[in-house]
Amino acid sequence: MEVLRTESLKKYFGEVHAVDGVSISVGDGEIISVVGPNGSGKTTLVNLISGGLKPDSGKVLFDGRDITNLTAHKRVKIGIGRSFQIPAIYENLTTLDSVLVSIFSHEGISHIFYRTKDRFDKAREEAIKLLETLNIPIKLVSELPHGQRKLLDVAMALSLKPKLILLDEPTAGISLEERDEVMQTIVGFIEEQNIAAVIVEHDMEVVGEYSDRIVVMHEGEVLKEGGKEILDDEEVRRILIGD
Amino acid sequence: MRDELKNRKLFLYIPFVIVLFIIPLGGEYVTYLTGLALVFGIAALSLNVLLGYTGLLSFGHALFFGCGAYSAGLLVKHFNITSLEILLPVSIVSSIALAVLVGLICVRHTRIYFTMLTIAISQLFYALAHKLRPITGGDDGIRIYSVHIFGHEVGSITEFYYYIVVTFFISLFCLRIILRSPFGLTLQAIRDSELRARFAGVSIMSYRLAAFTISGLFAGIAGAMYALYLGQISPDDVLSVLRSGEFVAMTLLGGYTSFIGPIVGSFLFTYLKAIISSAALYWYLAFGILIVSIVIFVPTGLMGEIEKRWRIG
Amino acid sequence: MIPQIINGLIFASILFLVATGLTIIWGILRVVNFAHGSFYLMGVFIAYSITRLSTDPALHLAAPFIAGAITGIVGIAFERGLLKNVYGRGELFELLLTYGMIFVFMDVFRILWGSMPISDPTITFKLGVIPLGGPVVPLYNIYLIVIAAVLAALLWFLLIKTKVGMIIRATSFDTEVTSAFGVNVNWVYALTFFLGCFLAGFAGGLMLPITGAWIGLDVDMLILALVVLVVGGMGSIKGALVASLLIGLVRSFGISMFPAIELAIVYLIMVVVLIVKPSGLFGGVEVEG
Repeated sequence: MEVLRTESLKKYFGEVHAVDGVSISVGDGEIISVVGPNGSGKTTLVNLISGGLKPDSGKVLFDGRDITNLTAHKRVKIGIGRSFQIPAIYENLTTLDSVLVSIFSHEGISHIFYRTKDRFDKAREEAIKLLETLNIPIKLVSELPHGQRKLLDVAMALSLKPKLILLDEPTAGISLEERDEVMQTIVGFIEEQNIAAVIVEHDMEVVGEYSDRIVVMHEGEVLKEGGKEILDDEEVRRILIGD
Repeated sequence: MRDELKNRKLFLYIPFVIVLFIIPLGGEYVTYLTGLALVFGIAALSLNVLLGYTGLLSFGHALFFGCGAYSAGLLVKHFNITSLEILLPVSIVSSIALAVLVGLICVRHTRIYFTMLTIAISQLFYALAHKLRPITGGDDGIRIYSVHIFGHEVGSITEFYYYIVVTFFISLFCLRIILRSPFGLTLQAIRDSELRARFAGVSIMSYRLAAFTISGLFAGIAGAMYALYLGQISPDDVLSVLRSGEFVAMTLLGGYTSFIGPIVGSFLFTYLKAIISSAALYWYLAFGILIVSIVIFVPTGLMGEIEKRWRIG
Repeated sequence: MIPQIINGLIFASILFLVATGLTIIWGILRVVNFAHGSFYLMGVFIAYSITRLSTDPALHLAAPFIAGAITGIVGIAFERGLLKNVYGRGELFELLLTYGMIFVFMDVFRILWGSMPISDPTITFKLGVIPLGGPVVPLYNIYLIVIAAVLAALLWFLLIKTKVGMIIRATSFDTEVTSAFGVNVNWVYALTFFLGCFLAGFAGGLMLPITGAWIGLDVDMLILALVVLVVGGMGSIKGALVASLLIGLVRSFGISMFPAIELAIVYLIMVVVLIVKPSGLFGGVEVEG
């Protein structure tokens, strides 16, 4: 069961071919890593899938449905969540409230202008549980260290209970010691909930350990695709190490 | 907008309510001032729905205040209707309508462009109120010569004061519910990160428009009560950019990061202004220095500072 | 017809000077200076004090320049003394600070110059009138328009052709980069504020003989300058020029044809432009030539 498929996605910024005919597919519950040097088009690809950018040509299909012209927030509603390279978080809220916003959105009650006790309590419990699972303390977002800010960014996407989650460099800026723990937590949650994932990553160890499949991008195109073994491929190593 | 202090706050609300009810014992002037503070408090609260909760600074809120005031005034002037039970609902409806219309124009823009738009549109109506003399009474405005409620004529400022108190608490109550709800939280999310809110599935424009409408609605209520309270309205009084600025000042003074901040600010501002003006001191200078000081030293206002301390201590 | 054009051009010239000052402050410092109308008013008052000293026409002609310079210095004092404390807190707070200053200035003016309207048409009388086609027009009015144009040209020259101007414009793009190049960004800010306030004060001084000053002029002028800014495009001097001409002439002809409309039509133009093209006619983020 294919959750996501892109067909020859192209996105040009003037002369720059950021994404130049990318076709990938993600199956139900599959974890794909997208790797490549800076400027290979990874983040642009994520933006195209999430709806942040409109492609110049090509299609995006989600669960068999053509969503190429669907706006970003509508894509969220049908089950695509994402995290950002620079965490997009609510500076003045608490971690609990931040997750609550996503839960309310998922439950379709964001617009309710009064508080019903049971619905609110239920949402709150869910939020607390999620934060506990991901080891995020309940405090003001502004007081979180960098690693946990990234984690919270991911948490807010996960709490939308998406079918597909797009993670843009989830471990960037996190210390090496914490990296393993963070990834284990995230991937554990994703696998348990059977969420499909597209992870843009720089860290090859991370990529090797958690991906079902690896997509190597170079200059806007897919260079190679495969399992862990392609990390040992000569061409791939040249592209990635010469980074 | 933190809720942990709920119980502590209840202890403050009760004395506040009691004091409000016995204020008339202090004489007509004190009653008059407090009534003003309450009315402006509603207006400042409404402004903060946009500023504190949604992250949009409206410098043209007198537009809705004036809309409420003039809706009542026009009914009095042209149809001789003086019943509160008709004037208030009509003001509410007209404020909602105007807010939706203006909101559709404004919420597409953010930050400084939003603020400039609110100034422009409110100035437009200000100019119109000045010029359309036959309808609005021009510079001289409209005199509201009496107010009735269900047939009974309101006999004094003190009596109308109590209606203001009731209106104030109803408005306060409604806004508290709205802002503590999922809707209120979503607004704050939009304020803090439009990007993240969008990618949490929130339709940004709709929520901003809703916030704008709620904001305009309560400002209109304040304006209507103000008009009936004073008995006299004019463009310079209820529609001017200076009036808009005062609402901003009150919100800033009391603290825009707190729910009750604007109310605190409104009371402080109204009493301060009365004291300083009557002492024949330089009110504008004091006002200006106050604003400048707050912006530099206490940007989150009085309640912001207090809440900071309560969290630490 | 000719009087309307002249009046329109006068209004446009003054608007242009004031709005340009506001727009370069926005362009470089990203601050909307709500106190800009107050600096304009300051110029009128200072020029008034100068013209009180003697009836020598040379002094009266020099008054706007002196007033502009003094206003500019007050501007620097404000920017270095108060405004810089809130840089980085967000444009809302910078705006609110300048907003507070309106009231400080208001009472300071009242203390120093009283609350009666003032004007000093001495120079208008001294320069006499010249016939322009049919009607006669005060020579001062022509002079005003010309001197405003000259100043505009000088400003353009300064910003586009000189090294100082280049530094100023570069700062509007990226302060980090320019300071990495050794430019003292603080000096640029101070200089920009000086220029902006000089223009406002100078314009005020120019208008002393014609409309003078009255209570509320600061807010009136601020709103008008904001309108020009929005219509022309924030940060664009070219936009300020076009918008000033547009608004000046529309208002002048509007008043003569439908006196009731006056300012309402000006605000209407602003609202329409903001809806259709929120960045203004020549909207961009850098200071243009």
